[in-house]
Amino acid sequence: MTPEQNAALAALLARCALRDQRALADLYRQTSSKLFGVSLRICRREDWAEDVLQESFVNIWKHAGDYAAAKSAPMTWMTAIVRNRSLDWLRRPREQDGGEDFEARAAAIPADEPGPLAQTLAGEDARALATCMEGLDSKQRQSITLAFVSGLSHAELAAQLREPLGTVKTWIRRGLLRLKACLEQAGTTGA
Amino acid sequence: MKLSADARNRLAAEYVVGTQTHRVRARIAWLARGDVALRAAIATWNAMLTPLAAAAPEVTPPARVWRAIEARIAGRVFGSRPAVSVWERLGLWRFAAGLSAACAVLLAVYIQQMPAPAPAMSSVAVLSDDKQQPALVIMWPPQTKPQNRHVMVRALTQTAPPEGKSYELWMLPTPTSKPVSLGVIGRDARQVIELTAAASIMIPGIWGMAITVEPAGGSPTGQPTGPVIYSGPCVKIG
Repeated sequence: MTPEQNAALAALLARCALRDQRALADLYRQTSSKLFGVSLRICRREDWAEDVLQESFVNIWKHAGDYAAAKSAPMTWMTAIVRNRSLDWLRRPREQDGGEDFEARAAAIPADEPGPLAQTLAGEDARALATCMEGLDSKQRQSITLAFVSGLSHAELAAQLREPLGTVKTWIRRGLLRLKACLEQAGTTGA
Repeated sequence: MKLSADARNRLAAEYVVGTQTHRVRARIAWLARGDVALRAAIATWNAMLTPLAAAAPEVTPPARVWRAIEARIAGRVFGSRPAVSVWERLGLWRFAAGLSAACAVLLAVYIQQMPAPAPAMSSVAVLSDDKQQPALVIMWPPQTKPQNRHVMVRALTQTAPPEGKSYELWMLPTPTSKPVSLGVIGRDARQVIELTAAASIMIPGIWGMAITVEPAGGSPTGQPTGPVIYSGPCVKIG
């Protein structure tokens, strides 16, 4: 995202806050593929991801007035809404919470780590993040990526990586702390 | 519940990375509602980790998703607000076809006469009365720097609000949306009105501007209460 793209998206959100439907349509045109991809990766089911995307945009419409107070980049704000919705949907308590969904999801998770982050992550903040991610142990990097991008819970990660729950939790916690220290040193705390 | 800084940071990090159970997530979301520092920690982690989301490939959603969203937000829009009918009655749309020739000439002359403006202006609105006579020109620079957060107001005729009243300047994001106040304008022929950060973000995309007659000091409601006396569309010039 360039500063100009960010400013353009922020302006669309401001117009959404004023109940301008065309602004929401523009916002949807510009961001829905990216956000649908984010949700689909977490939900792993098209029908769920579609519901999440719909809910997310209705929420963006309703809460566009709060965006300015969030003090974050527009895509960061919208991605957080979509990820939260996806995770809440995925983790929601279900009546017959059989192992079926879990098995299906586990089977659908790509076994190997996503390609080199530096290739996928463009932009300055992203480059700093990619560099710091490369500095982590491979287990830490893999578990943080699987958790954030693919929406795996602690328990799912433990099953996927065939490691004890406590070990996986420690990887993530230590990995995140190292990541934060590295990004702070690089001067991009993101705040 | 009072959280230590460490605990807060750990909860925020795990919340954002998304590994917790539904129950823990709900609990943190609930805590965050009443805890500014926790919300800030979550925002910081979101800003740090969100670039990772780019690792998920883009997928175009099916058209039915947008149709469902559109159906759900319809009816929650400006349609029946009284403030809108004021703008609609004005027939502001007529301006959208373009400025009248007189207006354009006047504008060209006016811009030439301006003493080497720094920074360059990016947009202009010529506000006219109900007989289409131009009365004020509003101009503003590109909103690229904090020091550009202002509009310049030039009166073309001598005009003043009635005793005990004020003129208030409004921007219209679209012909039918709720107006947003830019503040009360004084009696000087040349004025500069500072923009709030929110107004500065909005102004590059706005459709038009208008001035209403309000109680002294401006509208008490945040929306126009008095008659529109000048209005006009915005035109990009830079």
